[in-house]
Amino acid sequence: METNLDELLKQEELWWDQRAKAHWFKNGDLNTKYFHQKSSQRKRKNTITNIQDHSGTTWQDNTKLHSIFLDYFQNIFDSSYDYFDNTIYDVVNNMISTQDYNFLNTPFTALEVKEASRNIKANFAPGPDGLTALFYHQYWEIIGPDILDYVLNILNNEGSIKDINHTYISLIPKVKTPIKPEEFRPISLCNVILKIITKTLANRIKQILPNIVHKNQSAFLSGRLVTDNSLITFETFHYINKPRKKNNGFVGVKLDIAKAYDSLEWTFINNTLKSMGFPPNLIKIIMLCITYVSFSILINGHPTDPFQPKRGIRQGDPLSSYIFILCAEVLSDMIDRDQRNDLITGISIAINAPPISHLLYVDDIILFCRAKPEEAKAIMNILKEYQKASGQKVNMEKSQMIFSPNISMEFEKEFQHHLPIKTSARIHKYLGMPTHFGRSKEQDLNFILDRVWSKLKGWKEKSLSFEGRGVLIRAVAQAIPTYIMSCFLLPKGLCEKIERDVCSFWWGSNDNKRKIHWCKKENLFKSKFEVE
Amino acid sequence: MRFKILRDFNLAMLAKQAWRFHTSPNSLISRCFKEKYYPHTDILQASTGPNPSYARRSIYNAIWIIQKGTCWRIGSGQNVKIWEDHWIPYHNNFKVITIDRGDSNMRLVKDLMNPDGQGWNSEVLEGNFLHIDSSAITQIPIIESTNMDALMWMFEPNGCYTVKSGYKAIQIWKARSQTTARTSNENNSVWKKLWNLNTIPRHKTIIWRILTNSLPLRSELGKRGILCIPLCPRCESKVETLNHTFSSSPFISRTWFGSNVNLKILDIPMFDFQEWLTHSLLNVKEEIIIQIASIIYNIWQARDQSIYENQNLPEEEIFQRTSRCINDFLLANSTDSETETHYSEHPSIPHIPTSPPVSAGS
Repeated sequence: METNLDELLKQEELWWDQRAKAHWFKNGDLNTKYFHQKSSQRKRKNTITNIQDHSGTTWQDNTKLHSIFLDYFQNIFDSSYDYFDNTIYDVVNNMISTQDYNFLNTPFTALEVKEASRNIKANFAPGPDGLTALFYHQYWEIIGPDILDYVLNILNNEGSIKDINHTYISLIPKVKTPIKPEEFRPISLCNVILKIITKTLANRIKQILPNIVHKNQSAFLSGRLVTDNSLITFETFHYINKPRKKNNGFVGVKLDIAKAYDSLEWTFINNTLKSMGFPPNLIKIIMLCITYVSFSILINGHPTDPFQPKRGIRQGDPLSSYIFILCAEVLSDMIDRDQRNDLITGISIAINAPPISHLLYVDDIILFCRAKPEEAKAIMNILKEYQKASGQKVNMEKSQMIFSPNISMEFEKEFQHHLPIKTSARIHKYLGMPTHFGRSKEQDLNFILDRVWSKLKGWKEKSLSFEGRGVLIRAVAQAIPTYIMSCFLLPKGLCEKIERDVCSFWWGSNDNKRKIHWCKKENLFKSKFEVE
Repeated sequence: MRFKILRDFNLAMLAKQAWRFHTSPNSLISRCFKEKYYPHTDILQASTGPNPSYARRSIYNAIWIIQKGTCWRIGSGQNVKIWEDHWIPYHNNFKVITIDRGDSNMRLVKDLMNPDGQGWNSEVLEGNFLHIDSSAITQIPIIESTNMDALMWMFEPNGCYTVKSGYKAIQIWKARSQTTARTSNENNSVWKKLWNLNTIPRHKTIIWRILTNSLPLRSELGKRGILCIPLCPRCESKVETLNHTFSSSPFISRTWFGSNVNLKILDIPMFDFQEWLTHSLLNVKEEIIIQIASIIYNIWQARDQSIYENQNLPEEEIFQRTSRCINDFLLANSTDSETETHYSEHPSIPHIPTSPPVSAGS
């Protein structure tokens, strides 16, 4: 009887655990108030109640909601592609060596597929068939052979993927109270079986990527860190801001690309891969996975009617990120070509340092050049061509330019005439990292303190026990500053403030109420396994 | 409660950047840094360089960690200086003990090897070094004398720096430099034992709170300026102190005596509960400590209940709860180990959602 009850309790707890999506809770806890509150809050946050259409009228009616979103996304994924000049792909011609080609061209094996299926996170949101990856992990003994057959048939013999290609688009709010369709991020929920296929492809491609992709791209490649990019950016801005003679200065341009994944043109992907020299079979499968898709948008848990996209790659598909950086390689190489032809001068921060003209992190692009009108012209030409060919749109309003302090206003104006992007005194952040420090580092980095405290003070954290609070501190609150800490030394004062907040939270204080700190701070910060 | 000391963690992370610059000198960022700040030397030897940015200064601040915790793996011995560098593993800070007399012309480790690069030149070693040094040196294997010398991080088996071991190293050095090394050692092994106990985390936390004197006992509340009657809520005649709550009150000593551990608390003269607990943590078998922890937890629960619900629990109830806690935990853990073995074939799954609760019931 008691074991029965335990079993039921466990099941219920698992349900709340999955619902609450608190991924930092590694090994389940009791089915407590915390999970209930967390999941109810999540639900409230993700429910869409009203939405504005493009004319500005607000609708609450459910069918109208469906049609607004359907219109919006059909529009985004619709293509009117008319660029057939293939010279743009010359820059990426024959990048794949024979050795890599042979590696890519070998048939896929069962081992690779199995590996890929294990890589998929067990408890993430499932696709239209409702089976999470956990199901596949758990019952691999039973269904494994069939899955291997099916997947290998598609990968090696170009079987049809028509049955599994349906995908839900889930809407994740980008802002706090979204009211327009643009304020949602469309995340695709593919069937896990399709994910297994694309993951296998991705794992294969991943291995040859470091040989192809430029050093300026630091995303998704093993051995390259996002902090590399932010450090280089920081150093370069440090160099740009150095005092020097009049009008012999530099400029940094941060580009914002609108809907980078959703607007990538299929023809562009195909031509890029072809030109790079990927094996035709592989290209065929990749394009199959990208193009044979039908979407339904999930609105408050209900899917809309399906529609066929005509461009774009899915966010949430393991393959997409690699496809994207392969395509961004075209842009990177175009800039490189112009750099070789002396149309664009990169910035070398020291005499023998490699000149840096651009840095990429997926769709975060930053360009550096001399503040001369000719270089502005060259950049604009590249951007125009790349936009036309790839379907990407640079959002000129959201992009920024920063000039060296010695550049006069007239000079800036002239540069801006060719590259119509607004100038600003400093880029606040690039890749979440400050690019420049003022007099007081503590002030510049104060946002970390706010973020830590806002994680701790939420009302639902009240319902945690001592142990639960300990885990929350260790796993969440103390993890927030790590990203900044990997590049910069936090001022001592700031560290102390953060530690103080952590202590007060641990003893149960919140904004309104102070609790007694029952022991010395040092006792809390002793490490778990002190050494002999 | 083993939260991270942010400053130290910060340094450990920055040391990782320095390590990356050192080990992959061809990456874009390493090349930029090298050309700008230390074109003629290595990051580990360099000063901050001209007009350093904040990032450069930050990383410079963490260099000492790498310097202190690494040791050269001898390949050809061409780059390692005998007297200055760290190159003898598990030896006096990795350095030679013999004092450099300055009269020999041996500078590099290469000079101590046989001319053909095979093995150590024992004559030179015996002639110039103390025995303790020379015997340590001869134990260093020379694997391939054509190999480059390379730095190893001594706190990881594979010699690669990690932030985790870097943080640990900082803590070790800190502990060593403290003057009260002996007492802190004892304390450390207590904490180590405590956090390693295989029992319900709540029970560990309560022991931690007793040992750090951070339970809201009425006597303590009084000390902190909170107005309340400092008497024990159950007997209402004596002051509620640690000793009273957990050992000397008659109800509690009956509880201890009747419980599975069968303790006669009153028999011990000059009894101090914290001391006793520390002592038992260090010397008593783990199963019994688990029992003790559980009893302590339930005594505390009973105390809370008598305050907030006005209910005085009998001793039997405490015995029952104690054994129930432990049994539930064992039961839950046994299924846990089953699921774990089941999952051991899939080591890459980070989140095991079917794992049972840390404790059931109670």
